Amino acid sequence: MAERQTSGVWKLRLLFVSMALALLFIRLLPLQTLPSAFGGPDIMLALIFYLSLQRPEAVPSLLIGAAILLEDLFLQRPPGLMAALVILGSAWLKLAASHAQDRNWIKDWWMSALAMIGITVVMRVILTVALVPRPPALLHYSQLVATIIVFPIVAFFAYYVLHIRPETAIDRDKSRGLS
Amino acid sequence: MARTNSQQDDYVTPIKRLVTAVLVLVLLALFVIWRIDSPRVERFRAQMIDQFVPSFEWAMAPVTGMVNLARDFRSYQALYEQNQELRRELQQMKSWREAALQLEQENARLLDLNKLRLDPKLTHVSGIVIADSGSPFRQSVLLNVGKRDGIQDGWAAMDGLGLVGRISGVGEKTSRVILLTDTYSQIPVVIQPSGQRALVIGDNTAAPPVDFIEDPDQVRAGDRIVTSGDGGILPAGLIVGQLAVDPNGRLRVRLSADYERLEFLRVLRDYGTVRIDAAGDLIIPETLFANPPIPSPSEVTQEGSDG
Repeated sequence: MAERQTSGVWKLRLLFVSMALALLFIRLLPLQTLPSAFGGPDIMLALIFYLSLQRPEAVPSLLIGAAILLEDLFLQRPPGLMAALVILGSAWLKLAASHAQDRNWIKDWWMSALAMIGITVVMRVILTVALVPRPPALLHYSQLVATIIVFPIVAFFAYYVLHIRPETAIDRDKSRGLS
Repeated sequence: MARTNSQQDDYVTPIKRLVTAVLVLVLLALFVIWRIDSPRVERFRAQMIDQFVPSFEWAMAPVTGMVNLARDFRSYQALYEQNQELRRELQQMKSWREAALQLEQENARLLDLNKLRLDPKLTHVSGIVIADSGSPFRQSVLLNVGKRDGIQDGWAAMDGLGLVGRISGVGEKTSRVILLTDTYSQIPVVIQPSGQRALVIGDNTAAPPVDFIEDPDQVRAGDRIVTSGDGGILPAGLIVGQLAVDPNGRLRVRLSADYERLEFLRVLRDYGTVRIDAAGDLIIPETLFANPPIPSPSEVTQEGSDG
């Protein structure tokens, strides 16, 4: 039983890593060389936050750190900053999720939105303090909004297509199947 | 079951928290190191990209090709209108071609008279765009030519039509071109025919603004913008684009290069560029090296008038 559970976790982690690599690959394709006025959603961030809320054991800090640091390096961002902030955001979400009594997807949504807003604001503050040129405000905030909007879609996709569901739901299904 | 879980948590949770805290600190330290010693970390970044991206090229090229094919297919729907438009443009171009031919002949004659040779140093290496920056905040592309092809930092990259950007970050097999539209890109230019000097400063829009014009009254929309070669940053005389005025009255460049589809770029070999090896180095006019370190006032004014 326990073995099966751990193998399930590792399968999830593998799925997460492959999703991260696929997303990075798609972003690096030279399809859009004209600058765009609005930033597209950061699907990776939405996925990480969904997993942190639903299956925290699938995205340990180390894995998130590695994935986002890789993104930082490949996407010409200041290395380490985004990774640190996403780890903090995800840790907060994991903590909140473990304490929350009645959770539904709307609550998950606004909690992850709060974390995303926090990341963006703190990032801009740190960049300002460190005298690093900040990304253009409109682009940055539009990316934030797009990511918040896309979160339910990512959640829906992860839940119904990838079958990433909270442990309790799986246990319930299993016990039903067994009995 | 629940009890064993909670007992397990008691061991694991503090360790997890410790790992998370240490990880965050390490990552922030990396950010600080990058802030202090940027060239080293950027070199590491270039090396890393150099290691990984070319190994994905086999997958990237076909996927990019497929997507572009699909886009082309969609644009076939507008084929008729495009055809009409092209016919009209062709009519105009024919008259331009006549003018250009005449000018070419005249130019050749004049060059011959002057016994002038075009700069033989300007040869080029062609590269294929294999990846872009991947982020909406940065405008750069990755070429499949690098140190092994002799590429150096600071060289100009052009497509067939105009300047696209500068090389910044060279790996063994790849090199990164910072596009003129990137917020880090600042290029000294001359606006023809008035000869006004200015800077083209990228701001993440398709038409970067032209700033620091000496006398804005002397320039007009439609003027040609070419690189000035000031400061030894780029070779002089590369076409950047045409001057345009946006609705807010700000002067911008309509770039000549076709940014919509950057596939092949030419990197111009230019051994005259000043190399910056250390973080604190500056590009200083050579006259300052020849003369005593503190320039006399007359020299300063001369420098100023030169631009």
